[in-house]
Amino acid sequence: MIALARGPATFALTADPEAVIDGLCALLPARRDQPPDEHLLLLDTPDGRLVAAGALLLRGAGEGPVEVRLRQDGAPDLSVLAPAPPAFARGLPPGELRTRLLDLAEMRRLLPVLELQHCTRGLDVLDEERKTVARVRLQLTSVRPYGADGSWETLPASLTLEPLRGYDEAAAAVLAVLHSRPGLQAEEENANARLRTVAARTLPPPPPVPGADVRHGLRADEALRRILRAHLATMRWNEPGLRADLDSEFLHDWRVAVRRTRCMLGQIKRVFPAAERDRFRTELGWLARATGPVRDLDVFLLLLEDVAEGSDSIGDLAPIIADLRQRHREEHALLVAALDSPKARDLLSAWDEFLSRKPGRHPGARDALLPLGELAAARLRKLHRRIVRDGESLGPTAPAAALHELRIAAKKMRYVLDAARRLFETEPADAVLAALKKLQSVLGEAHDAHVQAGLLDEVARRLAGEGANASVLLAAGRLAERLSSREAGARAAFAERLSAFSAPATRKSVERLWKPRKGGR
Amino acid sequence: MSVLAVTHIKGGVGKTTTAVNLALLAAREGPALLWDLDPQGAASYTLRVRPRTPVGAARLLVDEDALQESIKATDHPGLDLLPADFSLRKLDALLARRDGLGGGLQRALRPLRRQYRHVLLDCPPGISFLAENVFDAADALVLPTPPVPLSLRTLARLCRHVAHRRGKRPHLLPFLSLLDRRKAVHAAVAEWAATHTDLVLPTAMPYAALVEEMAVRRAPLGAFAAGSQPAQAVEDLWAEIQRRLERPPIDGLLLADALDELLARPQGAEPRPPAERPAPPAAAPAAGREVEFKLALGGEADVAALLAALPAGSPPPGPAREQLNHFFDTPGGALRRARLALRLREEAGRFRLTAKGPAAATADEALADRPEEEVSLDATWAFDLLGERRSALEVLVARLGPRHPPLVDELLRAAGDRPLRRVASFRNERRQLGPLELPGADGPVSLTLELDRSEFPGGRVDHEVEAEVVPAQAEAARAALASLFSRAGLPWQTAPSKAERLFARLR
Repeated sequence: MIALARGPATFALTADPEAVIDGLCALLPARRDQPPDEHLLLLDTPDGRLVAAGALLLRGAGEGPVEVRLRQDGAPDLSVLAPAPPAFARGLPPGELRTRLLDLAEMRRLLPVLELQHCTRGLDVLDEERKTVARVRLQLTSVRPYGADGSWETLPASLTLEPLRGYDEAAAAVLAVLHSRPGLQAEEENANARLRTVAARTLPPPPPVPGADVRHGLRADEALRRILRAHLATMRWNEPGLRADLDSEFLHDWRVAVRRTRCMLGQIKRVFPAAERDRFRTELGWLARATGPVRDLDVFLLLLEDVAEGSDSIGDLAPIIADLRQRHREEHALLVAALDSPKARDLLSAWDEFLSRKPGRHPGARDALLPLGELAAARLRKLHRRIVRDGESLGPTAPAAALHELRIAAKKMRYVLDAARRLFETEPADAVLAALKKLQSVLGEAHDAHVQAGLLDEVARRLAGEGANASVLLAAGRLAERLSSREAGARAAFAERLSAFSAPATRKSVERLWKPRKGGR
Repeated sequence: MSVLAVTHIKGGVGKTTTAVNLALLAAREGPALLWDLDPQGAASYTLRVRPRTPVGAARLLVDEDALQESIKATDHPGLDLLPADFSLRKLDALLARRDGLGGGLQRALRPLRRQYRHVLLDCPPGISFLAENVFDAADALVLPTPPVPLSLRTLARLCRHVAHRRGKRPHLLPFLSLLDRRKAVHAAVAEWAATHTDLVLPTAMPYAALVEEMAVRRAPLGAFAAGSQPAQAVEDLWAEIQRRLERPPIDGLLLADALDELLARPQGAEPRPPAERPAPPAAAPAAGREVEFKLALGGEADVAALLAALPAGSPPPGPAREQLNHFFDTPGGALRRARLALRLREEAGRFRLTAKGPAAATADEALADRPEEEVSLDATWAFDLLGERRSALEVLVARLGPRHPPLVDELLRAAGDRPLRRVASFRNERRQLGPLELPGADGPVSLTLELDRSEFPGGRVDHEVEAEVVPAQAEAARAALASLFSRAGLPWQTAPSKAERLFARLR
């Protein structure tokens, strides 16, 4: 008997699909299934997370209540009826699909990538009880990029045998029949995989990974230019989504790119001429600061949405969320205005031009011709010592500002490590990164809780002044307790994380990061 | 993940109806399993599932693999069923044991909790060791209760028992079932329940003919009557259950006291279709021999030339009929080595199983004369053959009966006790040409030709023309055909059998 692997079996069609179905219908005890043709949209996050995870998210193309389907190889298909097309996973009704999609997409916007015309013809193979024991589905799909008016691309028709649990023998018999059809060719790639391939080539290519084109032998100024060009590309990639406020991650990724840029300019100092280095560092700082309020509000709103959804009732958070959203809109408008300003335009244009310059024989900076790895490793040693020294001087009641300074130092260390990672020895780099991440995590937690407490205090006072009712103020109070508890928890974990970071093993790893190569110093 | 047990001490209160209907709704939220614990197997029957193999209640409790193997998908997306088996009648005795089987239900449920968002248990009536296991394992007891004194009385008893038991106390979720407000007693209880929504779920399941139709249609309400009032009641009930599980549990003692107080007051089908497997048709009388000319054509151009050479007034070729031809043999090719063939042909929803013997030596090498036996099959037999559930030879013998022709004995000898499997298939397009009146030496010869276009694995395409003749006519037919080929300017070339060409492609 032909062995049936767990999971569906797929066949490509080399004969007329209707003739194949008619032939199977004449042979198999079956009930035809001919659902109406569908007009669907395939959704994904802007960075293609779903396709990358082997998943497909489909919805009806209409604007009212729509069926949303999630398909992922190796997992059962899920579907749910949503009251409106979902912009985020969070907007779906509670259930398995929402839970799984939240894991995959997190807070990212769900955007249409492809438009599909989808036709399914099928047979439900029955036993003597007229119980379905296997399903045979023929899929005919045409696709085109969402928003394009061009012609449709017809994907090869495929026929799938879907076994049902507990009916392996029936499925094996149907599989043997399918193998006997000259018009069917067994294949590995199923219809889902084909659709993911089309989606993957339709999604915009991601920005380059900073440092991916940095290799040993490059002089530091050229290596650094390559890294910074990648960060600039990341900023440009995220700017449209940031402007449209599609989701919080566009701004986050844009800000990270700016921070990493400024960090490298500040930490690897003598690679570019000082005047230009300082100018760009300063002006990019201005641009980054213009985005700070929106980012803080993004993070807080995400937290509040989580809290509001939680099963334990914290009270009426809706007015607080509404107030913060209004403030977000106002700050976002200011952010866009800053990006549109002549100052910002000129800055980015000048920066682009600076990064595009070819390395000259007289670079105008003392360390420009040295290996970047050597410079970065030296900087990392200094940063490590500083963090350990400053961290050990902080007690459990250290002011939030002091922890914030330490957090900034840890970020700088992280950015330098990330930028030059390809030039370092792998094992020590991994060890340093692991210890640094753990330290950053508690510092970030403490900082966020502190900032959010400040925002909450502002909002609560304003709402109280406007006559908000007791349940709102009670909710604010409970939330403030939670934030305080989070901050305290993070501070309590700080000592232990710092201890691991300052341990001899980590210090040795920092020392061993850089190993000169032939041709380098 | 939740485990909801639909249970009651009394029988006939609507447990299975409730369990099946709620399971369908649960499956909408994520994978759900309905475990039919009642040896009557009503839930299994409603969902059209037979136990795959009766593994036995004892094995289900201790053998996770057996448990997993016993689960079956239903016709409803996301809903699986662990079907009932008559051995469940022993389940109570097994659970009463002090060895590993005792307390086995909770243990058996553990891996299922990881796989499913909801597990529902359709419990048999009674209060027993199984019931105690259910109380330990379930997060909630869903208690359909008809609004009549005997049911209310046993509900009160159950609530007291759960409230007083030492082990886990699951949520109690009683609701009125089989409610018929035209009856005075029902109406009075419903009125009482409306004022005790803290103790009894406000949603009542009505007595309805549609609900009884579930057993006729063998499907949950939501599958065939989604917009009906009973189906809406089930939706409301499910929503209410989810809400209640988030709140503090109903106080069983309070409920029992309230019920006692109430009782103390004086008191007023898709009709089943016929079986899918029809009686097999009577075997068609076997022809015994196939005598035919088989001549190769080079391609479409040769076909056109042949048609152009036909006498004026000849009918045009008939419409193309698609045939799928499947050949069966032992893994080692025993039939082929013995120059035998066994073929299943599909054409326009009809199926014929044909056995062919070796061609006899003839004076004319273009004339193939071979023994042949053919039977027609219905789709069920054909599926069994192509689905590898039966041997083609077994079917041939079954259809021809014990007094089968010598050719079948030859096949049996060649195959021995080795199974026959489908080894190759090809597609043929056949057009009938005729009956034709072809000029012959002694007057017109009436012949019907078959124009074949065969596609073999690997993409090779052959054309040929066949003419089946009676032996007495063979000489005249040959002359007429030779004359036709000559007029068409075509070489006279014998074609090997399609089976030979097919197996040559596979070598």
